[in-house]
Amino acid sequence: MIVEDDSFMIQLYHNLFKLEGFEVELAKDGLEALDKLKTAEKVPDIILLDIMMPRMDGFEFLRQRNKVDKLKNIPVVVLSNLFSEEDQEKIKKLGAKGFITKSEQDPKELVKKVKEYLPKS
Amino acid sequence: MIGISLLSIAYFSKVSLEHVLISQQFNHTKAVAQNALILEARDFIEPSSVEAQNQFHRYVEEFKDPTIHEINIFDLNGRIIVSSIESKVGQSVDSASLKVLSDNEFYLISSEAGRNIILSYIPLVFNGSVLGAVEIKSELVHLLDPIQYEMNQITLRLIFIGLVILFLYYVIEWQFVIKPINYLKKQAQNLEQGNLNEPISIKTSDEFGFLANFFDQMRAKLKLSWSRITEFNEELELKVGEKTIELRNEQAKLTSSIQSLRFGFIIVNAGKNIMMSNVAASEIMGVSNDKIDFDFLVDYFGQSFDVTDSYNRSIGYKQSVISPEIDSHGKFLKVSMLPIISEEQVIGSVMVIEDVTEAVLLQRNKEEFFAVASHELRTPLTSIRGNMSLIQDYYKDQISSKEVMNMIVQAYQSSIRLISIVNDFLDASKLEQGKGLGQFEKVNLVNVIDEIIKDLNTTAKVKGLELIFSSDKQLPAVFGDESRLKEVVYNLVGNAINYTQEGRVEVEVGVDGDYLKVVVKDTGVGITAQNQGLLFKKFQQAGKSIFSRENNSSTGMGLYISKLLVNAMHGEIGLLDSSDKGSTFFFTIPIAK
Repeated sequence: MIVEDDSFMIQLYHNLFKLEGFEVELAKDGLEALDKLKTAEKVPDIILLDIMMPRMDGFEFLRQRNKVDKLKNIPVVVLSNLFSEEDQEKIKKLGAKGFITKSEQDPKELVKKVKEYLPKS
Repeated sequence: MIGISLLSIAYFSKVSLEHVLISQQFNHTKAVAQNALILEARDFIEPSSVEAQNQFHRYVEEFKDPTIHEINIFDLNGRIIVSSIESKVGQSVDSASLKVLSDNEFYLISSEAGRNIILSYIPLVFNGSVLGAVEIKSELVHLLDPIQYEMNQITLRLIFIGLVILFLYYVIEWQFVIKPINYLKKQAQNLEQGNLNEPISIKTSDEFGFLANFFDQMRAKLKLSWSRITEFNEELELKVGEKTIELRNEQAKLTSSIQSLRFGFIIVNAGKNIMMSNVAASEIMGVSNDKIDFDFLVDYFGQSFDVTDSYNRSIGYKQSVISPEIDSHGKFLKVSMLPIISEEQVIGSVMVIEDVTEAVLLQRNKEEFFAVASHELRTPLTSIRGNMSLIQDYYKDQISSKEVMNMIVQAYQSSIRLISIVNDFLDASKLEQGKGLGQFEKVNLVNVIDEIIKDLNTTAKVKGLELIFSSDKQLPAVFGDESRLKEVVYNLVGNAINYTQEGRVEVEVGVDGDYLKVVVKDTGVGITAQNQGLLFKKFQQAGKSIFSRENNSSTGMGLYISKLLVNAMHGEIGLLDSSDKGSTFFFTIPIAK
């Protein structure tokens, strides 16, 4: 699942991961993601999460996810351009697996990194 | 002096007069004796008859001179024949009286019951032979009265003469002593009143003439000195006047300068009195100038700036107290208290109040801008980069035109460069604010360099360059942020490779005092002296150079950021040497303790 508010980025990631053979679910913000996940029959293998989003930001999403049993074990990788040290600490504490700076990656590298965070199965 | 001499003259005159008068008295008694007795004595001297006795008494009665107390006539044996005192007849006179019989008249002066008595002896001569003598006892006081009168007369005359002499003396003294003294006194007063023009002259050859002459010389010298002093004073006054005007001008300049300052400027003297307070001070604090006193300042700043403590520190210990930005009455202020030192003494304190509200807001806006920029700017750039990359990676086959493909590659590279610029820009601004560095730890610098060398080896090989790394064995660890140290090394070595067309790039590391020193030497084109000054400057300040770089991927911020990083890690960075044969850069990082 990709949680991202920027429509261009959504488009980009959607295309990318579909091209790489992923099944992609999209959400425009934390709240929508949370709703979709709660009602979904099948939970995603990994969640790519933006931080700065309207309505519910990435931090709040992580907090809410941790309260739901069926969601709290899904690996979350934070995708953002804004990583201050405090933010990184906060993200780690909230249980995210890792963080990727969006602007520093070419799509192929991003896919490669995301794959590293996927649970081995 | 005069009095004493007059008195002695009078005294001696009186003594000699007394002598003369006594002689006169004696002659008087002698006459009495001769007139009254001698002629008659012839008759009764031989037979001492009663008749003779009576006759003598009659004569004494007739005679009745009160000054004469006693008259005795005695014979050659000293036996009294007749006497004014009857009982004395037949008695002997004093043996001392007998010398009169040798035909020598004389007198004796003696004192009897407080009275001066004169005893006169006159021999009685008959036919050339002495038969007896007369003894007359008279009182000198009585006798002396006319003498006294005479004497008084003489004394008065003497006194008069004395007075005349005194007057004459005075006249002479007035003429020759007092007048010149008065003249000199007057001239001295003249001198004292500053009248130095009138010459002083006494035309005599005595001491006064000399004194006057001396006075006049003194006056002339005084006049000269005075004219010099006057001249000097005039000059001095002129100078003081000039200086006063200068000082006033300076003061006016200073005052208007202080008044025109945009920050509050308050001068407090050593007695906590406000000596000056400018317009900005009252504007910043929003109070009229006359309300500003020490207590007001203490109240106004309250706990945000301890005015009393700062004042005491500046006055007592010559310390300058500078506050951080304080939030006061809805404004951000920076307050300083600085001692005013004159001749090594603290004579007061200057309080400077700077309204930094705008600067603080600007800083906040800047921070906000960077936060927004980092997200809002990078997001679309990431989208461009991602899509361009996606086309190249997955849709290459669908693009038949080589030109279109080139355009896509260029757009992709430009987006990467733009992202780098934004990143560097944000990074620099963070570092400028003292942020952006991770925890410092012990770092093995040799390993860091090794890693970068391996990383850049391919790039160097592609350009046909030799990349050499040499280091002392077992170097101590440095203290810093490892990832940031990597950036610095990457930047310096990367630049060396970038700007070198042929030859080699050498990296050396060794101990330099308390630091490890990394030296990066290349055989590149070198940097012109003009551009050397622009190194390590922010890319805006490097002018056009950033746009004329051959290598498009460079942001021009690398060295500036490296400098910020090295300085933040308490090291130094710089250019050691540069010529057309190459450049040598270095940086140092403190050894971990």
